[in-house]
Amino acid sequence: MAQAPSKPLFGKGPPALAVDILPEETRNGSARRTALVDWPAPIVDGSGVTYNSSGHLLIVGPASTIAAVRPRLPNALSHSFLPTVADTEAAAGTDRSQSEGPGLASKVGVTGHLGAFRVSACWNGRERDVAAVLGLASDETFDLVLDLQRQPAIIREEPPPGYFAPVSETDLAEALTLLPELVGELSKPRFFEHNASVCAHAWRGTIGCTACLDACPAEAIRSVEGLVETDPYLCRGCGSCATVCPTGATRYAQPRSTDLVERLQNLVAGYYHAGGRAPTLLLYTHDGPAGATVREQVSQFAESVLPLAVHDVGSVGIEAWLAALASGASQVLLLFAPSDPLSKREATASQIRVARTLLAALGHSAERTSMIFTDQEFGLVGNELPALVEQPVEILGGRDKRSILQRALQHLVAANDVPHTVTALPPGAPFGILDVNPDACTLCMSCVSACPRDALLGHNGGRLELHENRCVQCGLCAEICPEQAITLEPRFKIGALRETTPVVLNQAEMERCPGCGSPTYPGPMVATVLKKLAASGHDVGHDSTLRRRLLACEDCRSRGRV
Amino acid sequence: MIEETRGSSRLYGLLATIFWCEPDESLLRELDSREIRAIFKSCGITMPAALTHTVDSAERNERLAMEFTRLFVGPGKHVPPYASVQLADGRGNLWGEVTAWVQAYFDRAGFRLPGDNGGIPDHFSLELLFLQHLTASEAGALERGAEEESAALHEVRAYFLRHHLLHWAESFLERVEAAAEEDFYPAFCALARRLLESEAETLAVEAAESG
Repeated sequence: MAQAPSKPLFGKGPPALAVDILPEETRNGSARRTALVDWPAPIVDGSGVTYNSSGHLLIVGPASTIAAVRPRLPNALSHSFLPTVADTEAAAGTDRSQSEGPGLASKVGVTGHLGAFRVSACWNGRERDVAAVLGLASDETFDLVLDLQRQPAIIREEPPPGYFAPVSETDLAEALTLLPELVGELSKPRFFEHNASVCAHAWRGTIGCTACLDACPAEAIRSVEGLVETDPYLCRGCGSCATVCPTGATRYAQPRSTDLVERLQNLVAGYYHAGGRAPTLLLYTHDGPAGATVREQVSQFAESVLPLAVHDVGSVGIEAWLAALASGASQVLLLFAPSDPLSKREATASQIRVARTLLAALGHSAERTSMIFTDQEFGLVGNELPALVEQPVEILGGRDKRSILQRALQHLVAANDVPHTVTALPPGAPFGILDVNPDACTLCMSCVSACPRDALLGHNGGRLELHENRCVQCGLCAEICPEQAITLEPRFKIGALRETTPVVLNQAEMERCPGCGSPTYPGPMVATVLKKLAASGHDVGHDSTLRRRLLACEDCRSRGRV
Repeated sequence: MIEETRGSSRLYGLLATIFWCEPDESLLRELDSREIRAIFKSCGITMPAALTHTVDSAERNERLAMEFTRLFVGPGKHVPPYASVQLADGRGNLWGEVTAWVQAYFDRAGFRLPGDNGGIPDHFSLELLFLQHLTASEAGALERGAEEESAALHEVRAYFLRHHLLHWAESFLERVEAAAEEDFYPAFCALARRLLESEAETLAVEAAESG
């Protein structure tokens, strides 16, 4: 018998926006129709992550709540119940046992995901595995969890698939509708790719960048022995990790940023080619409230507004916005819903702040890149902003996030003949220089080995240099520096975009041999050694034997000339 | 068995101090003791002249400070006492992969470095200090009759020696001996070599017995 194909967990949303409902009164309108034909509803590819669910649902909550919901539970599922101590009793510390069954549980813990939830709870202060207590096989897990506790076991912006903790009747009704669909083999793609070799998370046990860990609303990303590990079963594909990643180590794969940028640029080019001018790109999440808002209001938008559905707007990062502006868009708007996870909105907001500072340095107003929200008036009725470039380029190219971003900025600089200024950027921005305290730096070059972007260079004889255009301000160098001599200085130096020669961060004067006067060792290195000796009570004064012998070249020392 | 383990522990501790910083007057006085003389004698190693023939102790202290600094600290060509450097033929970088391994091994064994360790766990002295800690704990467990605990501690030490320290100690000690101008550090290198050789022999015996 042929096996039933796995059902996709995502991507069953509404069809693509019907182009023919868009008004076409101006050249922009007809150009928009032409351009949007090439922008179908987002399809998430592949089935890299598979969940197997036989429909075993665990309902957790106070007995009275379970009793009220029980008649409404979907018949297609098998049910187990975990009655818990009511919140008032839990607060008072009671843990009553009933005469039958294991009694009321407290401190319920849930780990895992759709098809594989492990649940533990406490009875009389003792933690036990719920499946075992309910008399199920020892390796049994639950496929689905409906958590009706007032304080649910998982409090997370994006809980794992298969876990529902409704907070309202509407939520509950929605959960009860969705639950029976989560049976059988379900699959979703891997939304991300990770290249550990350019990741700035850690180096030899020292933790540097934690941007992706902080941004993930599903808590799917962990740091394991210095490596970033993402649990694909928990990942919901919002893309915040890739958006905030300064090095491009974590990349979104649905689609890849390089592919998305190419498509955006083709779209803008197609729009111009069909006679349109100064388009506003409105990027939105296809499924969910933002998509619904766009479909409802799209006919009232100005004809230069191009609504572009993506799987998740949080996955479209700064390199794509700036590449779009550099290829002829006049504005990039990102439509979010207030119900989007806070950390996802924050991730994009932090990048918007960076983008706006970069654009301000190029003389452009803040509104060129904006987040807008479905519950606000965003009246896209008329856009007076001219495009940033007069002659849109078709493809800027770039093999990764950083190079796309740099090419876009270079193009914007060249197209507008911008003076080469230096602008301070907010902390966390991916451009900048390092301030090295010459009194503290011993030129040990630990920072050079730690840099994941090969931005730092160390030269024998004591010179530390930086390729500013490679530095992403990940902070690993500052963390690893044994003398704490490095401070990050996020800034946008327009001139550095094309710089190929590194800047010198610190350079040592060489000490000279007291015997023959030839240069011997870098001054800071000698100073550190002398400081150590002085601390243990030795005389290292200018004419001391110790100092003279330490500074001597090998020749003079072996010949006894010092 | 208990006394033997205690003896190893004291020796590990002594060598950890010797290779950690330049000797000061109080350490040199301590070294000039009957017990240390006995250890050198039993190993057939000549006591260093600095301990037996000193007239001007201030001058000697300065000379040894110079020797220590030149050998292990720099500036200039020296013998960095770090596994990550020595395992790469004396030319590796500090904070190599092996450093992270050592740190993780210390963590797993519940060994915390003293506060003033300079931050790099694969220093020869810190590894010796780790072994001192393990042998002292093992002797304590043996005294209490806690057999499982002492066997576990023994296994932690054996693994560390077999899979790490014995791989780099000998070439490090040889480089120190070759670079030394005084006989002070070579004498302690010889002592370290004897201790590690006897550990290696014990391990081989154990391996033969269990295998």
